[in-house]
Amino acid sequence: MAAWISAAFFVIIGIIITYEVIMRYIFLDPTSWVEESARILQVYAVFFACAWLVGTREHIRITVITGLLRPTIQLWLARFSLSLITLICGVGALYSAELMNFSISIGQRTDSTLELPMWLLQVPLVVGLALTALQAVSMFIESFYDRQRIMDPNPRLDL
Amino acid sequence: MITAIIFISLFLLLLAGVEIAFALAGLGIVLLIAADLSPLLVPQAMMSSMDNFILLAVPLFILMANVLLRGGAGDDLFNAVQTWVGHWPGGLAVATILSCAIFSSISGSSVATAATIGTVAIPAMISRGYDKTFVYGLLAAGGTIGILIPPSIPMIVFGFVMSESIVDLFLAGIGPGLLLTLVFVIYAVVRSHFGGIQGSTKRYSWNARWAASRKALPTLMLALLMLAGIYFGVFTPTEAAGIGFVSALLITLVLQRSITINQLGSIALESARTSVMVLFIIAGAKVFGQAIALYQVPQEVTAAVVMHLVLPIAFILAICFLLLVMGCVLETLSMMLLMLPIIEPSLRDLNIDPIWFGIIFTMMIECALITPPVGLNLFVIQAVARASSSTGAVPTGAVARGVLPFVLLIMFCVGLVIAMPNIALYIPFYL
Repeated sequence: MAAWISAAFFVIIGIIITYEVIMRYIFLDPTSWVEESARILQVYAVFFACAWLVGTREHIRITVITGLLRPTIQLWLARFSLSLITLICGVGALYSAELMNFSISIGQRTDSTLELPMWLLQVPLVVGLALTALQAVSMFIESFYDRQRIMDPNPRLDL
Repeated sequence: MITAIIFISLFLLLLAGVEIAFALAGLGIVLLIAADLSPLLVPQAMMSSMDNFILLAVPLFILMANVLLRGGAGDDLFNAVQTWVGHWPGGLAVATILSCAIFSSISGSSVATAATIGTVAIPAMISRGYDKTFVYGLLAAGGTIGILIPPSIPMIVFGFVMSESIVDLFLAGIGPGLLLTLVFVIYAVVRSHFGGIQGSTKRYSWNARWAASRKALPTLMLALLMLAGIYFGVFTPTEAAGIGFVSALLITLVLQRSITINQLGSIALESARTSVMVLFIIAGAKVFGQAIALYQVPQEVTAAVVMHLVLPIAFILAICFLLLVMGCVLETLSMMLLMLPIIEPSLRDLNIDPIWFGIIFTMMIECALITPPVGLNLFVIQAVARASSSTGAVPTGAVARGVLPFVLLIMFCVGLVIAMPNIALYIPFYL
């Protein structure tokens, strides 16, 4: 679900940016909302999709050394990596929530024409990082009865 | 001492297979907490890196390239180019390089270029008697032109990290991109001639040439539209990417009907996957970059550089050597995000033009993309060759042997750009 939302957001970004250029040059009526909306959509798209890539183990990593090791060691290194992700994203989500609370408490807004509430930009960090931490925990636990789940898939080649 | 500990820790994490984005962010968090600095800097850094209009160009160029790729733009381009030059000595090899160069103007990724053109060119070349090792090397290296001729995802990242104009970087990439294309073409012709490879196709009639070119024309027009729009300041690179994406949809969905509405979902999903892979590393690198800046690591490195490498040329050569070595073990984007924040102050102190340096840096990254063991293009070509080969497995060694002459050719071109900066700087600053 998060993956589809992220994909849809990127498509919407493309469409609204084109709309802005058309409005500017053809209708001579530039918009005031496109740039900021596109930026915010990008923040949502990236953080919402983060857990999805952890779930498929598709975040970029270097496997040149680990690929040479015995499968058992590879498995434990993968578990180590998932533990780190849990810790980092858990801590990140907590700090993001703290920052969001602070923004809400002082009524902070973006310094742009739309003057949106700042927490709107901070929500995706809290949600995205928390989901990523949960995803990593679930994969860590799953790895004890389904080893292949976290073992290296074929390297991704589509960058 | 602290600098050494930081980098050793990072390399250990990366080599242990920890996801690059999380290794960078995690180390950044540890450093911030250890220095008793507010950990709220972490979400702030991550958010500010993504809340950025320039970086929007990355997902949009990826979307555009994926739409065109799925719509068969690679096939159309290769077929069109080979009708014009296929009968030359080594004609198919020349057509392959020229197709890579043209595809580069709509794709900002080296891997996408190698994979797209490789899918059509590898079977065609091998069936006409080209040496397999040469074919694999040619395609892996040809793909690297993808990040030099604009648009270029590494250049967008470079401009973002160094706060430099993406437009200037794009324009500066054109000269060296064409130079590299020319050098590869000359090598392909000479190699085919002396290697006894005929490898050419029949001479096509003018009608056949125009018919094939007409099919590739919309893609070419799109590339020209984006480049001209950026060059004349009509729109920013991000807007060019947005227009490119929507135009690619119109070309493939409406004009050519080469993709269907149902395919759009999978294209968007595939593009989102690749985009988030890239963007999340940038977010992690932002946290790490902020932490090492607070520890004054870049200043320490700059002091050491200025003390030992007085001449700018010595600094550039040292960076090139470092990139060549690091490129063997590190993935290109992480290499960029690791090194750039550290060497940025040195560039200023040594008075080195950052646009010129950006082009040299990108060319060295091209080497990293084709040097084993961590050369993404090698794996791509291996996978594409395996898919199109009746014999199955293609050894990595065969691809690695094939790219060696091309690594030397790229180094030769880097040397030329260092000796004659105007190869890169003429178009953005003097034209």
